[in-house]
Amino acid sequence: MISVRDLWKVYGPRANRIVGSPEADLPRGELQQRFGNVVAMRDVNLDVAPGEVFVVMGLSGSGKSTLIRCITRLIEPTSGQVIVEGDDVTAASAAELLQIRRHKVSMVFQHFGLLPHRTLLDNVAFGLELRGMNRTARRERAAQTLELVGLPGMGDYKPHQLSGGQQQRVGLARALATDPDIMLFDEPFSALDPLIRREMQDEIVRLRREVRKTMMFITHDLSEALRLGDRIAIMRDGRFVQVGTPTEVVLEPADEYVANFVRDVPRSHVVPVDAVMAPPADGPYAGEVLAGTKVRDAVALVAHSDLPVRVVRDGRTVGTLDRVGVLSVIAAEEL
Amino acid sequence: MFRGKRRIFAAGLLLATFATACGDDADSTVAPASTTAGATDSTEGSDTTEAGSDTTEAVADTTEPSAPSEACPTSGEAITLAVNPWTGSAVNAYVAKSIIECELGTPVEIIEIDENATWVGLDDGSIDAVLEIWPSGHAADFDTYIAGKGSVVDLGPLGPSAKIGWYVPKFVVDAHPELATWEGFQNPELAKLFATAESGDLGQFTMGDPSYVTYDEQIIANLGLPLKYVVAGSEAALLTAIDQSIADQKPILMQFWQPHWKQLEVELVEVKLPDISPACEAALASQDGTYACDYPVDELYKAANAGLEEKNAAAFNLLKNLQLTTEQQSEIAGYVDRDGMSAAEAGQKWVDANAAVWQAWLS
Amino acid sequence: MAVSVETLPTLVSDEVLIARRRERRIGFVVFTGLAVLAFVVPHEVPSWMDTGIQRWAQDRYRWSILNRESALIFRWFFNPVTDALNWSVEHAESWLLALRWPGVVAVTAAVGWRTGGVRAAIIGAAAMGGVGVIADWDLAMRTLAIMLVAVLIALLLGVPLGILAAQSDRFERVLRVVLDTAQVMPVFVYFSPLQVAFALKFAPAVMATVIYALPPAVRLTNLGLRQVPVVATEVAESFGSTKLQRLFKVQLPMARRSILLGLNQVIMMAFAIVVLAALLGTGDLGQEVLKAIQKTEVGTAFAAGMGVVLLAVALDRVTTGERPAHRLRLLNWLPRVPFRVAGAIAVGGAVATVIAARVFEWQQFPSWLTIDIAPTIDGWFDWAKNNVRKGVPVIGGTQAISDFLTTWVLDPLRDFLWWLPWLVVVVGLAFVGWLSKGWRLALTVTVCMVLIGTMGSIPGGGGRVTLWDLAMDTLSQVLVAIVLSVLIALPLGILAGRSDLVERLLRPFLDIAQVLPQFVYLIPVVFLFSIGRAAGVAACVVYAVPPCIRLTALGMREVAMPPREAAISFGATGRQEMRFVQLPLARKAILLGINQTLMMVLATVIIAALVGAGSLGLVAYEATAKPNVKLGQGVAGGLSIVLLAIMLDRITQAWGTSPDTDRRT
Repeated sequence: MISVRDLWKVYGPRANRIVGSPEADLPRGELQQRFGNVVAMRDVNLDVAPGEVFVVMGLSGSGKSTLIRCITRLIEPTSGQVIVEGDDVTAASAAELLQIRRHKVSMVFQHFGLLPHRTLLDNVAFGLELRGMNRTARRERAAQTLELVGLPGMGDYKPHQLSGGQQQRVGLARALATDPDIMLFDEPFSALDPLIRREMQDEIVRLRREVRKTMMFITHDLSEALRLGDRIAIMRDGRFVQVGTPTEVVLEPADEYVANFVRDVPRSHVVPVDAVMAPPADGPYAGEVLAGTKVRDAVALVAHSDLPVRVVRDGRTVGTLDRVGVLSVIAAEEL
Repeated sequence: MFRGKRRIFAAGLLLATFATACGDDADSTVAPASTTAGATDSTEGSDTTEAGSDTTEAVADTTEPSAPSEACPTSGEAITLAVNPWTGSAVNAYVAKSIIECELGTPVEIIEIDENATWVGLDDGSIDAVLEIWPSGHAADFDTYIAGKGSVVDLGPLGPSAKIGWYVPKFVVDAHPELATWEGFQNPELAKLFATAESGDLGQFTMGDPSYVTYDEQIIANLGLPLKYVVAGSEAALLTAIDQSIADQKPILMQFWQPHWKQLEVELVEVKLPDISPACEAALASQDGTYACDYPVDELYKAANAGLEEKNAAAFNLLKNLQLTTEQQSEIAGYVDRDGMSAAEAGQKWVDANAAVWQAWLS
Repeated sequence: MAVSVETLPTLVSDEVLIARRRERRIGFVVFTGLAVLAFVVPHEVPSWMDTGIQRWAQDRYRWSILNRESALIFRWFFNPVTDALNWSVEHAESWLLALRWPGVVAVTAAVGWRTGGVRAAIIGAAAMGGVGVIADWDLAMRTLAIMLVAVLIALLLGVPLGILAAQSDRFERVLRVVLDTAQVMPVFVYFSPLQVAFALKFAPAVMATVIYALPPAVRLTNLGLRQVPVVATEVAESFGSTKLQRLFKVQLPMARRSILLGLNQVIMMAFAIVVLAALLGTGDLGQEVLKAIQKTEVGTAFAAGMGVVLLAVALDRVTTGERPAHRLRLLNWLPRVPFRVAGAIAVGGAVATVIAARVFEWQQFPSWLTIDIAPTIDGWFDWAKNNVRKGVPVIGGTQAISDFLTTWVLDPLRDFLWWLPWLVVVVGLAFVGWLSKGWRLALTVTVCMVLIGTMGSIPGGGGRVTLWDLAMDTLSQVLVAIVLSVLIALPLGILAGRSDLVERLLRPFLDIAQVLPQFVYLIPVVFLFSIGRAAGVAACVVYAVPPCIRLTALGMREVAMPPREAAISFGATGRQEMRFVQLPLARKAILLGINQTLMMVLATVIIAALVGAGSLGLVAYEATAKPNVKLGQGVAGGLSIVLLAIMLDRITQAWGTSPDTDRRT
């Protein structure tokens, strides 16, 4: 769905010269001082499969916002290639780019980006309006979408009358209204307080089930990344330091930096039972869990009985889980 | 930008209002049009199509207040006379207006305008004529438009003459009789009576509007007087300075002129400057900065756009023949400055009473 | 993008500090050296520097006069535009008159209600009605017609220019110089050329008004567009909007407030110039003022001037539709009516009024409603003549102030500037520029000042006077006027910024002082301060103080609450809180106020010339007075004023924008 190849973004004069050169590896301050350049993103490669949620995680200044903006060329990459659904975005003409933005990809913004002079309905209908859809049709569609995100009948409100969480629901609705195949999220929930954030994350999970979109999600919050991502990319100083499933990232951090990041994550939250099960055995079981279940969710079952639990995949027993396995995971958390 | 509902209301509101204004007018047009037709100075209306009748009528309304209601019926293309901001200029024009409208049947539009701006209008014909020009202040205009480009023609003398000079309030001469002539100002002690913060140790010579002709700086220098030339910048400032001087009994020396309405209000005395000598005439011609005499007398004259003769020969002739004596002009001006009439009323009053005088201009 | 911004300052600060210190040392050495050198070179501006701009302008003017019938630019551009402008004003006027006075008041109220609610409707209608009460209604309608056309054109030109300026930094920089010129160039300089181009009456008057009133429309459109949050444009782009879609659906609507503020400023500026435009024979309220001034009838001039003020207020309130935070308490008693009903009532009311006005022939404004305020004003003026000019205890009165100012402030300052070799002045001002912002500004200042040197000389004082010397004279007056304005305005502004009562008391005076035609106070100023530079300074101060008060008060009010609360929570007294928190935080706004003061002062230099200030203003004025011989001089004088303005503007603006660290060192 989305492929990114060798993508660079360098700010400053004669940026092309820096791409791929040894200077690119200079410390940031020195590069800025000597050449006036800043490398925001270097040599990024990624592929997002259809229906996948790909999370990019990093601290502020790591280049993740730059990356997501390069997908639809809100920021012009310095070099490299972006392909969206087979279309080469980086080579697209202005007109083609407009078509891609209008029909294939939509984006949800960090500070919501609602247009204060428009009603909610007109905000949600914005993308459709740009496409040239007629007023009645687009307003009808917008009203439906507002309902979908849980704001039925509020179309005539103005953005400033809403709470932050509600505003971002509108932002979400706006992105959904154009029915794109791909949705980009730029730290959409970072401005919300924790309870609301949790609620919105649930919303994303629900939407994912219901509308099945390909999503690229930027966040600086690890637990958000672990909750939502099928795969996570950790970004630092403009490059990917690790790309993998949540389990891989937590259990096999690629370097010290990632390790530091994931240190406080309770293993039981990310480790699936398959990772710690013993080979299948006969004998009585206390019950069964599906393969892929997180250890945390199996604890109660295992703890209730002395007997092991059966791990099942596709109706077949693939292993057993006992207290030892569970405790080994939990014990590792305490280290 | 705005809410749709409101926009529709606003549009409706405006439309309805204007529709009312115009529609209602249709049936009442006849009456005002017939009465105002005569008084109309200019109806400009030929290019209006949609709002036709309404517009012409309304334009007529605007000029109505300035036209005396008893004006005669007129037709044809209006003649535009310029009025500059002093009484004499206004009464000449209204005298002419009354005669042209009643005797020639041609409408006259009066435009009140700055005297310097007048020339550009004379040049392109948006002003047809002006009846009082002070030659001293407009030598360059004469050269440019009358002698040079030929777009303006000299209509000959108006009759009255004017005189620029140095003036002091009467109380100054009462206290120091020697200040009635320029020699008195050679005495630094006496000159110092006129000192201000601006002039320091010297006496101050005050010039009003810099657009008026002035040789004062040359005269002061060439006569070697201990005076400093200060430009007040405007006639209003100069007039205020006179009031101030009278109020404080603080002497003021300035360039002033006759006739001027202020002369009726306060007593001013002209300071005698050296008589005009051949040397001074030469200096005037060569503009070499050696002028040191009194101002020459201004013979007021009239001028018209070069196309006026073709446009309206009768009016052109009348304006050419129009002449007033100094007494006649100050009589009419007196109606305004002394008796508080409007210039239009004053002009009409004189025209009504002096048919014999102006009948001669018509031939 | 966010990336670079976040990390830069901390990384380089040390090196930058060292570099800055070194640069500072270099700068002092360089400027000291230059100053010493400048003392050696000739004292006067050398005559070879005269670029002949006067001749050039004079020749262009002469050419236009001789060729205005035949030249293509006249036949294909100026003449059609002239016709169109005259046509527009005449029709606007005839519509206004066709509405009759009750109709105009009703439409004002209806439009006001539509844009700004009941409050705007009431104020608008009251102001419009007030015009008829104190001034001649028909003349006022002519003024209104001219203004409507001029304001409309200013918007039609200004908003697109503002949009272009917002797209390109380079265009913005060029445009800024053009706009500064339009704002500060004395109207008198371009009066005669405008007349040659657009003939008499309405067309040149409209054009002059447009030139003068255009800058705020451009500036505030540009500003509004540039202040649209980045995220909004990103949103538009990400959903695939074209440039035009982005502009019309996102940026312009979001810049609406700023553009409306621009409209408000356009209206204020336009009305401020009404009286000058009357010199061209418009025959409107402005001419009423002129005529009264000519006869030194202060009260009559003031009455006509107040008519202009009320027109401006009416037009401003109903077009900008300001919705104030605190509503009139009275309005809360009124029953709330649904929008449709209210709309029907408004439309119906306006239509009914127009019909009634025509049926009952309410042609003239009823005389029993008019009030002649002239005698009252004359009475006040007479009182001031006797009690303010002289005999005031301790300070003696305005005459004494005037004499003191001339002898002990204006004279020494001017003579000092004249005593300095001209290059020393250039270097000195460049040094101030460098201190304020750096080399770039120093260069700008130098260019401005040297250009003044190239303006040549004019006859005067028994020989020739260089424009440079006149500019120094003007500069001395301008500096004094600015200092005085700030001394008067700052305390008042601070007071108004802290007390609602003071602000409410001041507001009407500020409104009036800003729009009341300057000509109206020409005579009082002369009477109170006597002809001369002191009177000129006084005229400038009267005009420049209001915006300074306003911006200071605004700056004080806009200081965010948290720091003030913090100070109070630590036990600061009101005075301490003001001194340590509010004033420092409002500094930027206050400096902006000073910057505006300066532009106002320079724009008033020309009026100052009409009360005896002489110098550049007088030279510029003479361009109108004797265009056939002195237009070139006027252009040079006007340009010199513009150059002074740009120089002073850039320096004061640097004070307002430079980072705090710079100021402290």
